Amino acid sequence: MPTREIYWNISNQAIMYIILVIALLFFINGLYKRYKFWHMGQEDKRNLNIKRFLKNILTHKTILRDNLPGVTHLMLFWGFILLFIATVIIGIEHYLHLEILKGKFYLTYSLLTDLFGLIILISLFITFFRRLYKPQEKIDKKPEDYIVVLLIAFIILTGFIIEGLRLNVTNVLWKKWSPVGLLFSLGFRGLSVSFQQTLHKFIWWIHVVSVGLFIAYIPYSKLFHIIAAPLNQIYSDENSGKILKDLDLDDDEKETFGVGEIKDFTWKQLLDLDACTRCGRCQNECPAYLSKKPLNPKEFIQSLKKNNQISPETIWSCTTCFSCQNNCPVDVEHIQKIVDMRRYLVLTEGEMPKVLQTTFRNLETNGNPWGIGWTSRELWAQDLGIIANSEPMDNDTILYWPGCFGAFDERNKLVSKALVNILKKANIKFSILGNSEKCCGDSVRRLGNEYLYQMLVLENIENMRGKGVNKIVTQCPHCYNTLKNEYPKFGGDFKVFHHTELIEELIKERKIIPENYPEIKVTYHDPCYLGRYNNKFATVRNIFNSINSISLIEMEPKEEKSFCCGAGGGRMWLEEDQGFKISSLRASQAMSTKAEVICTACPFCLTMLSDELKEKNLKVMDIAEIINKK
Amino acid sequence: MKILVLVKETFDTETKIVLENSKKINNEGIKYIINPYDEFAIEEALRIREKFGGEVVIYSVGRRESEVTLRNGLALGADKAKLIVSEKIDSITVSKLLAENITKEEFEIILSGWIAIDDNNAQVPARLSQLLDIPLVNVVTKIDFSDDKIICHREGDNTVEIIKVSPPAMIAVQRGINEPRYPTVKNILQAKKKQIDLIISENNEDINRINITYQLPEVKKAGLIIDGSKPEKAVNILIQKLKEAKVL
Repeated sequence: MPTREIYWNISNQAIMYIILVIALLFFINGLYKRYKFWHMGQEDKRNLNIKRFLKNILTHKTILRDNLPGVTHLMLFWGFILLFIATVIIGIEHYLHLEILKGKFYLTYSLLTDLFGLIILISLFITFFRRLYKPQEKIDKKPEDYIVVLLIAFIILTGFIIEGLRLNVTNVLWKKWSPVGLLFSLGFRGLSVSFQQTLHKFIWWIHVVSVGLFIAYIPYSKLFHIIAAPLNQIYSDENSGKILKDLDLDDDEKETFGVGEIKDFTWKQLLDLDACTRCGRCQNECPAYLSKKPLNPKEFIQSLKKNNQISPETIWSCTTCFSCQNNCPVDVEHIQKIVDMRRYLVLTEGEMPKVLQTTFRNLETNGNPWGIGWTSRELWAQDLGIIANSEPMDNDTILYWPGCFGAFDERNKLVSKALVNILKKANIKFSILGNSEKCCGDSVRRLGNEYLYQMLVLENIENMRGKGVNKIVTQCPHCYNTLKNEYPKFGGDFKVFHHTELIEELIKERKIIPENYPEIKVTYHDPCYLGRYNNKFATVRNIFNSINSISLIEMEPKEEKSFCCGAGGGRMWLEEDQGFKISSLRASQAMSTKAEVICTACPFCLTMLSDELKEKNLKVMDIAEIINKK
Repeated sequence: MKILVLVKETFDTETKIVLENSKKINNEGIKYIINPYDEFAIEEALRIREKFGGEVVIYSVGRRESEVTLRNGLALGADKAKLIVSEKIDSITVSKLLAENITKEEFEIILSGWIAIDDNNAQVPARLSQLLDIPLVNVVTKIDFSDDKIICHREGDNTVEIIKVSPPAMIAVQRGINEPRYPTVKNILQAKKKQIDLIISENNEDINRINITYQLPEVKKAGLIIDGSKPEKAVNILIQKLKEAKVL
């Protein structure tokens, strides 16, 4: 019956155990050091996110977004899993004195281990040459990167060689069930049996030593992601960065706020640093990196890991567009870290670009970033005959929240007017807060000024509660995100909608008839805070699909991979004096669609893109303006 | 070194002023801030304290509610504040009230902004220094110290005037002397606990003699832009408009 003798041709097995124990000691020592590193961090209450972990790790969903490296990792991963199971089976057979490996099961076992070994080899081959030929700025070329690949390849190759030699010497009938081993055996055919047997013994020990090296090397190299990445995914929080952590600002015992040194991070944030394998998926679509700003999300994480100083310019460069986190296969949470470090600069050190100080002051005194007198917030509405309600609203009245842009900015006031027109035509009962509305706080929160944020939030919530607000429709995705997702933590539980959702609904209910629109070619720019932040990719596309005369030409990149306009994360209020302008990169992507109108649904995007396309033959419009234009 | 900083609570520059009657400004809708020039003075005082140690005390004359505004000064890092409560805040009254109280203090420097953005009077530094009989260096853009002298820079057109003065002295600062800081949370929290002394001013005969009335300036009419794409037509419209305005 087909089977295989374990430890064939091998004596002094005790030495193998000594080698492996030494390797294990190195491994445990390294693991302990990493554990101590995480342990240094602050408290962080995390739930076990088993579902996300399983989905991500078994299907490789995020890794596969990057095709070739995705597939090679998938091959490597499943190869490792199968060979691990195979080794466990041998262990069970050996230690429990069971005879499992025989007959058909053995033959299948033999075939599968061979094939998966080959799969690993192929993936390593691709990985190695890909790294060799890809330019330096796309992929790291550190010695470690090659050592890891070569070490695994060496283990697999020596494995196949000893299998081949064994097949040659034992010459069993079922050797065709080890096809790869058989192929390797061909190379040794001419040698004498006794020499092959000695060679087998020699290479077997080399194989064991290399396995020992591999185990020992894990906690000291990027191989450590084998442990840290799954852990990091188990503890991951899908909302990290989208809903920022609140900060207790009343604790006057506290000397510092935010993160000023490595130990101010939470244990999970430190675990993040170990989970990173420098794969670079974060940098590939990062607007800051691609426009040559000092921030590169990969370098940022790696610098933190080495406890290097991060420059304020780096920290201020992030637009919080979420593309890095969206692309990270191991759920590293970049944005909260950036915001934590901004919080330290603003709240603890009082250090920030001069322009920001003015913006903050403006918000403190007049509740809007420009510092325009707060009593002129409702002027835009007065022109339309809308008067802010001083009476409490009834339950079916919607509160229309124009936000600072919709109320003060000349270009965006046109959007407010279009939206009001849509609401009126559809007979929707709505009201506004008028002068008592204040900035939602999104920008200041992301700029690290949590103190001012909480001040604005509490005032807005109290005001809205007093007016019996129930349902809110916002014009700005930034207002939308913070009102919907962040206000509840401060006691503001309102039903919040973005105007795109409302328009989609009105078309469905035939309150807006999607007919008689002019024939236009439109391209759509996904706002980050609507798309990646709130998964609203389909809303605007559905609206366009329901209107026959409007043809949507998609621009690349789009949806999940959409490129930021450059104004998020409070970047709107900072100078952009390094590298290229992010908005000009996006504008040229829009230009190449040859559409007549670039549509967006965010006042930040509208402002940035309008500024870029002023002198071009491409109109930038909000979806509300397109829908209103009939 | 003990530094007194004079702070005036002013309207925010964007505030739209509405009069209740000729004697009273409608308080609704008004946002108050620290006079930005006084903020330069606070910042300079803090920097001097950081270098030489000592104490920074804010002095203000104004309505009782201006405590809230003064708190912002404390949040920047001043040690304490004294508010002389007075309904009248013309320069004569303010200087007198300040002088009455400051004579009781021992100090090295009084710092203030050289002007306040609301009334643009720029009188208090001069009046107060007279009443206290101390030297005044006005519109200062840089302060240094050498031995026991204060060295003040005043910028003119292409010249810098350097004035040495011995303490105690009054120094009124100009924009450009520094960039005021933004308060840290730690300082904001501490400021909540700091004391603001309220000094109720006694009814003073001199003060009662002062009478101030307000009136709003006439609103300027918006400019008119005539479409210039057809010059002949534009000229005709312009002539017509000028005739309407009785210019022609």
